[in-house]
Amino acid sequence: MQATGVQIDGRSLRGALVRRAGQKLQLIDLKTHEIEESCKSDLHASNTAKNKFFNLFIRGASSTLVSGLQSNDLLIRSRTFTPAKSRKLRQALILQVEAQLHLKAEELITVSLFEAQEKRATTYSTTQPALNAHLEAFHKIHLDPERVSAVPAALKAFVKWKEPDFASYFLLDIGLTSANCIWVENGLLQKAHALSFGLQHLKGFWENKNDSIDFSAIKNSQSAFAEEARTFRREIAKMLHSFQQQRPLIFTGETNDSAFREFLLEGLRECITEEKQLSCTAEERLYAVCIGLAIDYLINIKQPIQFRHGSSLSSQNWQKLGRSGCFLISAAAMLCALIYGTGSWWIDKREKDIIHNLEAWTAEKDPTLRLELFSAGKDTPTLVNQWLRLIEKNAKDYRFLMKAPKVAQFLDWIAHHPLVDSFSQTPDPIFFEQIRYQLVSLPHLDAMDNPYLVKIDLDFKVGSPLHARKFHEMLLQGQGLVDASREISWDVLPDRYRATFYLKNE
Amino acid sequence: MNFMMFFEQVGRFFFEKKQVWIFFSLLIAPFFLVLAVLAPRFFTLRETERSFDSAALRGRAALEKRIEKEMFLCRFSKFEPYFIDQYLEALPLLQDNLQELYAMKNHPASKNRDALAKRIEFLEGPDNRLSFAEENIRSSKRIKETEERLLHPVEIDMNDLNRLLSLIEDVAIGGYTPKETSPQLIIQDFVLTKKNGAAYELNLSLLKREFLHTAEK
Repeated sequence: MQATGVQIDGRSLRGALVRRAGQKLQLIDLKTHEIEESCKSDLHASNTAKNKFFNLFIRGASSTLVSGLQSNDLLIRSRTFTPAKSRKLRQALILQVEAQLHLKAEELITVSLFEAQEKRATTYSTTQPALNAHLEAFHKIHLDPERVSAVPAALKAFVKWKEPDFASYFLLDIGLTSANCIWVENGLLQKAHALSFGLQHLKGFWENKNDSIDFSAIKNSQSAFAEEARTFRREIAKMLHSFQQQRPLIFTGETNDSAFREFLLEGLRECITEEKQLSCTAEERLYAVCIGLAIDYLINIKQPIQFRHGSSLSSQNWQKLGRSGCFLISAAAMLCALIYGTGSWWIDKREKDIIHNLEAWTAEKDPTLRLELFSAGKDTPTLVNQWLRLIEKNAKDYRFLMKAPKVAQFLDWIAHHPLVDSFSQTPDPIFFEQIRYQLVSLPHLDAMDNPYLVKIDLDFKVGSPLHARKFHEMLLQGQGLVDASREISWDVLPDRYRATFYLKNE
Repeated sequence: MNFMMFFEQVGRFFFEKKQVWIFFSLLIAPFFLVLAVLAPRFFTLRETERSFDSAALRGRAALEKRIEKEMFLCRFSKFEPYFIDQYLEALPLLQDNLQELYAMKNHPASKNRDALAKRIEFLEGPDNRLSFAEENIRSSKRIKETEERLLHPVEIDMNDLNRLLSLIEDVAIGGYTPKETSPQLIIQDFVLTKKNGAAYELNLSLLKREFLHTAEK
């Protein structure tokens, strides 16, 4: 994974390409490109400058362009939290910070950076106009940083990379057009300030424009340059004083000139304890902001500082989003096509199985039905429904088939009933005097839906009332042909008994 | 490069200015489309499978009933139009009793010859013959229904009863077998009253169904 930290400093466009492999960070290249004035207005020239700039680096496809907002465009707050980081906590924190800033909410952009192990969070707030101005500066040279981070965070990341043990310090980064000053306490960024002028401003007062500035000659000089340099130093001292602490001071940026550092330290003794030297090359010190921006992004890859949200996103990010969107939609469409294809194939297969089974069934059981069903091409549901209709039609009893017990059947049943037989074995057998079989209901042409229903009137004589009662009980139990669910009447006539009951259909 | 611009425009279109819903709509729309196409087909298939299972279960019983119906129609569509006249009304009744009466009458020691002659005359005469009157004739294209009611009760014995029921109800009873050319005869009202000795008085009402050529559906 690679990132390119970029910084516009006056007419210099600086860049640092850093690669991360696992936990290891590797500085690949450091380059500076001088921006010509014509580049800023001439599109062709700008494109040329951009191409030149990018050709300086071996930029892989995965390299992300990261720039940073200056301290004077930022408001930094650091907090310590008991609960672990969470999305809701982050949102609450941002809301709280924005509420305290008394700026227009719609113009505020706040991001938070959690350091989970220490349960600390740092919020960086800026305004939309400041971000627009920053982006405009890059757009003029046709660069569009994918990530806009913060210079103070970059400087802190640079120090942590070079000297991981440094926990509390001041850092002064002096550029050609600006000077950033940060205070880091126990690894947590506390405050940051910036001056909107730097060495380029001082060079304007240097008498011999062709020579480099000699700060060793300032000491007792009353020249305009010397006065301006002292003013510059006083402004820096004011920034350090505002921290109200004394900490070691680290120099980065255009501070490789020891005489310049000595000159500055002379006026800053009261604000600092000592000067701390980083174990880095002069070139790395010059590119501290660029390196720090790239490192900060690569270390905090899961939650990098990013002020470009919503419509402020870079072209590359829009392209990434567009690519991802197209890919997801295409993938969804292909997945759906796959689901549709598989689903259709499965449904077709099941329908063919049904047809096959139906053919086999009808061929085995009912060939005439097979001819009737498969005579015309029909789809499976129609075929099965037609088959079901035919079955339902045939499943009904044919209404003209006699379903009630016939007279012969009834007479045979009553004559050979075990109870009647048992009475015959005694001196008191049962004598049937009259049998009436009445088909009280049956289907006929005028009433096709009438059921078959047989009513029996049985007159019999038997000497023993016990036998009569047993016979009655037999009828009530609904044994054999008797339908016990219908009315069973029992009459005792002067010389006989009469039982009336209905017969069960088959 | 054009592709990059295209992707940038797509990205801005989908994710800028609260237009994310378009993206998600396009993302899930194909799934709904597939669901809308496949779900009805799937549910129709399930319904068809259920119908098939149900039909397969009921198919055998339906087939048996259809065969039974076809056999029934085949049996009763070949009938003799005058079956009742030829076989029922011509049936001699109480033949055993008649033989006994003749024997008693011709016996030299017989005393009640007049009474016996009167009895024989009754048994041989039309008063003890089955005689049906047709009532309530109903007909359709393929079925004719006629209610046949006995004009007067008759006296019968057990043999007569078995023979009669065998012919009417198309069942074999003892040594009596039904005629293959009978129409469908259904006993609507049957009253059997015990008389003296082995004789019974029978009153009868029938429904005759004649199936013409092919059956009514």
